[in-house]
Amino acid sequence: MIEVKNLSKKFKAPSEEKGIFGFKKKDFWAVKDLNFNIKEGSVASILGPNGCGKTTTLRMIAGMLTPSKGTAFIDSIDVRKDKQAVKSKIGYMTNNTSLYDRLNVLETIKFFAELNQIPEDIYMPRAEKLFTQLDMNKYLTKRIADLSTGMKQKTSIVRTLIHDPDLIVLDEPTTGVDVTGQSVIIDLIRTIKDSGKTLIFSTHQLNEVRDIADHIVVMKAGEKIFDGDNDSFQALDSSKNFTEIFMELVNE
Amino acid sequence: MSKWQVLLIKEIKHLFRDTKTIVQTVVVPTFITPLLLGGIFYYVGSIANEETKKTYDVSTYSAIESNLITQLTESDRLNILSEESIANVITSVTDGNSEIGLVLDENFSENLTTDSSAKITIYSKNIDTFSQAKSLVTNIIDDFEDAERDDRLAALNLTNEYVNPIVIEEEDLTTEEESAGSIFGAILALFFVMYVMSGSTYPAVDLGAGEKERGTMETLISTNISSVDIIIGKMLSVTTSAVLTATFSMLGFAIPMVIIFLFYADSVNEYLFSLLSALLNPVAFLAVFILIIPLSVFMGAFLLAISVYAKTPKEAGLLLGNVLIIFIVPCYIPLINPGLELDFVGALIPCYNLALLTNNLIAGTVDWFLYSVSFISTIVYCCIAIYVTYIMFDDENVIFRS
Ligand SMILES: Nc1ncnc2c1ncn2[C@@H]1O[C@H](COP(=O)(O)OP(=O)(O)OP(=O)(O)O)[C@@H](O)[C@H]1O
Ligand SMILES: [Mg+2]
Repeated sequence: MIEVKNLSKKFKAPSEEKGIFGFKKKDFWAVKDLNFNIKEGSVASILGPNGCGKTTTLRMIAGMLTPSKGTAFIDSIDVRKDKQAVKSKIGYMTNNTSLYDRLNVLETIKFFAELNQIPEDIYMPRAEKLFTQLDMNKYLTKRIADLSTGMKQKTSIVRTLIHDPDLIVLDEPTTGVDVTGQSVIIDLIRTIKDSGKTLIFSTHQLNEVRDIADHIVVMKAGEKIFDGDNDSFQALDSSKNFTEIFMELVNE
Repeated sequence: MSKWQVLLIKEIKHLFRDTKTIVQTVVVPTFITPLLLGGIFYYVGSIANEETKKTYDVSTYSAIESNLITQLTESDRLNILSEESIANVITSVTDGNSEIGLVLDENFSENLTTDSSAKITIYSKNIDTFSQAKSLVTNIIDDFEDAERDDRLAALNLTNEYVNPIVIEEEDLTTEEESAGSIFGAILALFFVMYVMSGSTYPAVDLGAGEKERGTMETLISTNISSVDIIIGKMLSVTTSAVLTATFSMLGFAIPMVIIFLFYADSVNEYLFSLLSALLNPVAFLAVFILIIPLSVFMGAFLLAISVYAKTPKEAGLLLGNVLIIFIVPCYIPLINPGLELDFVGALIPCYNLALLTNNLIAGTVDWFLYSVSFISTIVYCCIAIYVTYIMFDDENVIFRS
């Protein structure tokens, strides 16, 4: 489903790292020669410390950033060649539950469904099912601004899934959500997995990864330092738990 | 429904649920400005009116007796004070104790009787443009001089015509429409431009830098909507708000005028009434409105491009503040140089052409060729601004600039 080939992204250095006179802009690789394949129907997780390039990688996979080198294929479509086709196959959720404050939940969902040109008789049943599943029917006519963070997160999830994408990309879906909210999201990821869709998410919660991920990619400073399934991750050191293995990997 | 339409409807809904937008586009232009303008006109009018009833202090020094002083004293709007010396007269005017100082030369009477010129020195400060003091005094002096001249001519058996071989008769053929155009044209244009800008600034900041800051831009980019659809949707939202503001500001001007016209026609002075009737010209208003539409699209696209480039709404506000000057100054030039004529080059300058064309449209002297040149050039600027906005939205470095 996802084939990542030498995927790399170069950025201009932030201003405080420029040379003395500001014109010696040093470029740096936020993501460097990344290679991995994610099978259709699996749940993949990208891990790594802050600034290691998780968001940048996900954005390139979703066709929002153009790779500086290498590329990614989504269902054999090259993100470099046809961004729009890739985007219509993907449901992407950013890491800051960004929605329009002055729209209500229903209007928000309607907007994203219409942007994807889905007719109402198709998206409404889909939305109703998700609303019930996420226990948010009481909030449908409330404005986003008046919702709790958890409810905003749920709205974001529904809008991400409303066009029934083949690949779901979630950037830190559980950050800033309370424990109940987190378990709701984890349950939803399981449901998505059961329906045979492919999902890739970044996170800092290692227990989530252990519970639901089939495929783990660990990054450090833009480069891949681990790529494999849950068992092979544990097999790195059977005497240690998940967190300890991760710490060891990253601090090497 | 195409994607830009979906976006446009969403943006408009989102914008107009914000009270700030309603205040900017509807409340301020419709109510506040006419009130403000009315207030200023009323205040200035009442000062001018008060001045016509005021009596002024005139300090005088004269070593000799003169009929002139008696005649000045007879005016019920002048209060004549006699001073001891020339220096006292000067001090009195300098210190503001009297409005006008008047000194008769010591040979004043003698020169008059010997058929030579008699000298009068007038001291004044010419700052207070409303003051009628000086004209009251000089009118009396003129009458005094006329009488003196008549006496001298009579003594020589000559007529007035003899010393005035030419009589100039002037007739002002300026129409009421032309006066109205030159007085109100540039001001109206300035107001419209300011309203279009105030109507588009907030939406532009909100839909560009605001969305970037809130992170909704990233969500929008992640959907399969194209940059072109995003630009069309967003730009039309900004323009809708700008055109609405312009419409309401026109109503804000027109409604009070119609009310005056219909109900208070008797209490307005005749000249002002004729100017107002000249202003109420539907063709002129329509033609101005047609010019304002591409101008607002141009400004909308321009402001949106800058707003998207900015990292935060704060930075956008700062940048837009500077841009506003670029649009306002061309409107000011015709305002401070009445009588400027629009030429081909002028017709290419946005806002400047609007100011002069508004003037000409009200005056009924519009050159439709230059009107078309202005209209088309504004559309060309529109396309350029839209293209720049397109480049901005298509550039990931701009969209993810933070
Ligand atoms: N648009 C950009 N321009 C310049 N530098 C960028 C840009 N986006 C990200 N970076 C830099 O690239 C590096 C990787 O950023 P990225 O957001 O991908 O990390 P991350 O793994 O998602 O971090 P976090 O866990 O904090 O979300 C960071 O050093 C970041 O500052
Ligand atoms: Mg991130």
